[in-house]
Amino acid sequence: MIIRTKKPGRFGRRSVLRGLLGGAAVGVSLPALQIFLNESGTAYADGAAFPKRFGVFFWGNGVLPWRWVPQMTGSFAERDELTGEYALPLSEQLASLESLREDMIVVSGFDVKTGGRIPHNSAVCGMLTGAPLVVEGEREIWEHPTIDQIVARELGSYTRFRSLETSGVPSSYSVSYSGSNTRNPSESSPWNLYQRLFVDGFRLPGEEAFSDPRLALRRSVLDAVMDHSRDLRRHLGSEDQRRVDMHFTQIRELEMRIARLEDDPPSFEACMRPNAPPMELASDERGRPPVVERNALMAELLAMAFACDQTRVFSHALSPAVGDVVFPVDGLEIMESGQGVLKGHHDLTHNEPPPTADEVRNLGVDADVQMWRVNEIVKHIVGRIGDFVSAFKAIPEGSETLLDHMAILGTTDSSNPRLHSLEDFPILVFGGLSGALRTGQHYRSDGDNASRVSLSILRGLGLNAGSFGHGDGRTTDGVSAIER
Amino acid sequence: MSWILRWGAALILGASLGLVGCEGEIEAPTVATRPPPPFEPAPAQLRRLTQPQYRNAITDLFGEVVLPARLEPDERVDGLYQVGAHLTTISARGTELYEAAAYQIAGQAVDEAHRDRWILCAPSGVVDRACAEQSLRVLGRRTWRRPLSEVELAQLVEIGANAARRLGDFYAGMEFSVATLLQSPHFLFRREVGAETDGPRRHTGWEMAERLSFFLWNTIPDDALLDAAARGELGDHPRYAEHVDRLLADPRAKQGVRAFFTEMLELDELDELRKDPTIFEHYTPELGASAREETLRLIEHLVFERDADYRELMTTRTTFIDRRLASLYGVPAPAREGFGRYDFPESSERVGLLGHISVLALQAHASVSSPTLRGIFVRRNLLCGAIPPPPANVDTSIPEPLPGSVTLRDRVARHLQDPSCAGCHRLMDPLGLGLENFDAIGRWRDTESGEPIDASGDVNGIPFSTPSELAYTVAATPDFTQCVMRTAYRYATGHKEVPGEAATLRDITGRFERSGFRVLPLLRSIALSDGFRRVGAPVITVDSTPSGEVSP
Repeated sequence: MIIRTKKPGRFGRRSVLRGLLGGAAVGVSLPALQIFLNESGTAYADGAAFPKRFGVFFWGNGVLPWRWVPQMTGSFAERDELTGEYALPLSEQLASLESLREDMIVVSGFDVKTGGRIPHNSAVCGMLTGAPLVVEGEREIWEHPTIDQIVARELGSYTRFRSLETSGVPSSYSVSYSGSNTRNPSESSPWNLYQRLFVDGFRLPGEEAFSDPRLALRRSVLDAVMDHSRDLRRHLGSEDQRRVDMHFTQIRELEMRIARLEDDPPSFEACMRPNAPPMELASDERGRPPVVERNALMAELLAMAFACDQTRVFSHALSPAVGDVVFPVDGLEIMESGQGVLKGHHDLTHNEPPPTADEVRNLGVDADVQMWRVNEIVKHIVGRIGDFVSAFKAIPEGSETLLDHMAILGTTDSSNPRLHSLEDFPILVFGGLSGALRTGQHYRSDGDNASRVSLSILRGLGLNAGSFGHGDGRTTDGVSAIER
Repeated sequence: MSWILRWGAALILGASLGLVGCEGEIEAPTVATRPPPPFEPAPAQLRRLTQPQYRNAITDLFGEVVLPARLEPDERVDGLYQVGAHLTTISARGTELYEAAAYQIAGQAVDEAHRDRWILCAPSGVVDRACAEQSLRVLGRRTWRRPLSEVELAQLVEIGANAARRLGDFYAGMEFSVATLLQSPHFLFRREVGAETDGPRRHTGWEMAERLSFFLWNTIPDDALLDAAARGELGDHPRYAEHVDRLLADPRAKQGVRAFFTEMLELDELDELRKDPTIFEHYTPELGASAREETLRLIEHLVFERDADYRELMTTRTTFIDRRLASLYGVPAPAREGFGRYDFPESSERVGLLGHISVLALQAHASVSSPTLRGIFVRRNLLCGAIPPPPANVDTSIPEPLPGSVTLRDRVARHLQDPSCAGCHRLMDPLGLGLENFDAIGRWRDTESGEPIDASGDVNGIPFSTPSELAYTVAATPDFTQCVMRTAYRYATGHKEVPGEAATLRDITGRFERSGFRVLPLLRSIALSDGFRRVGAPVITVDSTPSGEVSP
C-alpha cells in the first residue's frame, strides 16, 4: 500500500508569528485566541485547519447481531422527515447512543475477509490490519501494523507522543501493533497516564518553554544509544536486525519528543490541565473491576491529550479479545450450588443457560432471547462507548467540537461470539473528520470487505491511501456512501 | 491478568495442529525409536532481557535500590517469556519506560548510599576522566556482560564529563554515563550469535557467561564468571563444567529455579488473582502472592534440600503455608509468622502441586471452578500436550443440560457428547474433572449442589477416581518428566526445539532418567549440552517487500 500524505504544515499561532518575523525561531507563545480563527470558527485564520485525529475503540466478545443492527438504513435526519418523528430508534443494543446519532455512522453488513482460524484473535487482526493473523505453530503473529499505527506513522511526528494506548481493565492488553511482534502495550492506570501526559514535561499553552539543561543531556545519551544500535545490528540475522532497527526508530523518536519539550507548547484554546484522577481504582464488593470509572477517566485524559495536541492517535481497549471481564451489571447472577454466581463475559457467550421460567416471568426477559445476560452486557458496553465518545464531544474547538475534527473506529473481535463469526461485523464510526465523513446514518452493505471502511477513514484523515489490507483483506476502494 | 486473559491464553495454545482435530493430538515423545539425525543447532538469535532479569541485574549492580515499577511487558510465546524474549522488540512506550527507569536507577546509583559500590576512586574535581574511566570500565563489563571497547568507553566517559561540566558535579555527570549503559541495546538485548573460530560455530566465552547466568540465576554474570570467560574457560574447555557446578551450588541458583518454575506454571499471573469476595471470604488481594510462595517454597525444598525426584512435586504430602493458606486449607497454621512446613496426613486428598491454591484458584473462574481451564493446565503446562482452538463458525455453546443435571460434570459432559467439541475437550475436561473436589478458590468440597462429586476420569486412558489418584497418574506418565525436560530446554535456549536438536534432547532425556529425574542434574546436563553451547549462523533473508506501508 502506498499512501501519500498531504503534509499538513505546522498550523497554529507560532508558525504565523514565525512567518511574520521572517522565519527566525523565536520563543514567543500566546494562547490561540478567537481572533486567530476564521469567521466560521472551523479553522485558524491563516487557513490551517484544526488537525485531524484518529482513535480505535475496541471491546471483546462481539455483539448479538440480530439486536445490534438497526432495521432501517440511510440518514437518520432524512428518516425523521419521512416519518415525522424524531429519533429513529437505532437498535436495541445501540439505543443509548441516540444522543450521538448525528456524530456517528453505524456501518453494517461488512465482512472481515481474512479468515477466522483462531477464534476472536483472527478477527481483530483482520479488522484492524486488513491482513490475516499468521499462525506458526502455537504462535500468533500480527504481521502488519494496525490502522492506528498506520496513521501514527504519518501524524505521530507532529506531537509529543506518537500515539497512546490505553486499557479499560488492569492489563497491558492492547490491539495496537506497529508490525510483526511489536505490540504497543496499554496504560491501564489513569493516574499513570495523567502523570505521563500532564505532569512530566507538560506545559500549558502560553507557558514558558523548558530550559532544563538535563534535556539536552538526555538527548546526547540517546545519540550514544543510537550508535550502540548501529553496532549491535551487525552480525545479526535479518529478523533480529529488524527488531534492533525498530528499537532504533523508537529511540530517535523519543529524542525528537524530548527536543519538542524545548519548543513552545502547542497553542490550543481548549487545552487545560485536567483534574488528577485517583491513584487507585477499587473493585466493587463482588470483586468486579471498575470498568465504568476507568473508561470514563481514560476518555477524559485522551480527549484532553487531543485538545492539547499531545498526540493525534490512540487505541483504547475497553476489554480484551476473549476477555472474561465480569462487567458491573446488576442482576446477572446465575444460581449454582445454591449461590448466585457472576460469570465473565466470554464464559457467558458460550455457556449462558437459557432463561428460566422465573426469569421470563420476573425480569420480563423474552423466552426466545437466549443469552439475555450477554445482551445486557453488550448494552452496558455500548453505554461505555457513549461515555467515551461524549468526552471528545464535550470539548469545543472553534465553533465545533473536538469530535468533529476526528474519527473513532469502534469495533470488536467477532460478530456473533458464540460462532466467532466474521460476517456482518460490528463497526461504528464516530466523528466527521472535519466534514470528510458523512455522519448521522446507518450504512449497510451486502457482504463487502470491512477493510473498505478503514480505507475511507484513512482518506478522510487526509492520507493519500491507495489501499488498505493484504491478501483477501486488501481493498483499493473506500465506501463512497460514508465519504463526503 | 489471568482472570481476563485465561481464555486468550487457552486458545493460543496448540494451534500447531491447525484444524485437523484432536485425534492423535499429543506430540510424539522425544524418545525416538530410530536414531535422530545428526545435531544441527538452531540459528543465532537476539533476546531481550525480561522484566525480572532487568530488575535482578540492577540489584546486582547497585545493591538495594528502588526498582522501576514498570518496564516493557514480557510476552509469553510457546508457554514461556524466555521464548517471547527472542521475538519481541521494544515499543515506543517501552523505550520511554526504559529511559525513565534508567534515570530512576542512575540517580540512586550516584547517591551517597550507593556510589561507593561502583565508583572506585575519589574524583579530583568536577571532571575527572581517569576516575570515571576506571569505574565505568568495571561497571560496563558487568552491565553489558563483556568488556567495553575503548571507543565505547571513551564515549561513556565523555557523556559523563560533559554532563558534569554542565551540572557542576562529578557524580551528577556520572548519572548520565550510567543512564547510557542502562538504555543501551547492549544491556537490554543479548546478542548470542556465536563464532566459528575453530571447529563448528559455538557461543563465545562472553556469550556463555550470560547464557549460564541468565539460565541458572536469572541475572547477569558475576565477576568470577566474567573472569572465567576472559580466560577462555567457558568455550570448549575442560573447566567449563566446573563453572556450571559453581553456579548451581551458589545461593543464586534458587532465584534461577524459582524463575523457571514461575514461567512454567504461570505463577506470575497470581498477582492478578481475582475472586468474588462475597462467595469466598478467604479471598484478599494478597492471596495470590501467598499461593505462589507456597509452590515456590515446595519446589525449593524438593530441588535443593531433598534433591528429590521431580515426580514428587505431584505426590508429596509436604507443603509450606502461611496462616492465610492454612485457614483456606482448613488446617492449623504451622508458623505464627510467615511460612512453615506442613505435612498433610496420608488420608488427605490434597497431594502435591495439584492440591495447591496456585493451580486450583488460578485455573478457575472468579466464582466457579473450571474443569476445562484446569485440564488445559495439566495437559499443556505439565504434560506439554497441544490443544487446538475450536473451529471457526461452529456454535460453541455448551448444549442444554439434561433435565435433572446439577453438577458441572453433568454440564461439561455435553462437551464430550458433541462430536465437534469432543475431539479436543476430551484432552482437557477428563483431567480437570479430577479436581472438581476443589472449588474455584481451592477449598475442599464433597458435594456440588447437594450431589456428591464424582472425580473420576482418565489420563491418556489410565483411569483414576480421586484427586490424589489423578496426581499419581499424571506423575507416572512419561509425558510428565519429558515435559519438564523440554520446558527447561526451551527456557534455557530461548526457543522451541527444532528437529536438528533431537539428538541433544535425547541425550538430555537419558541423563535425566538416569539421575532419577532430579532437577539440578537436569539443569546441569542442559548447560553441558551441545544445544546450549552451539549455535547456527544467523539467518539472512532477502526481503523483497518494502517495510514501509506508507511513503510520504
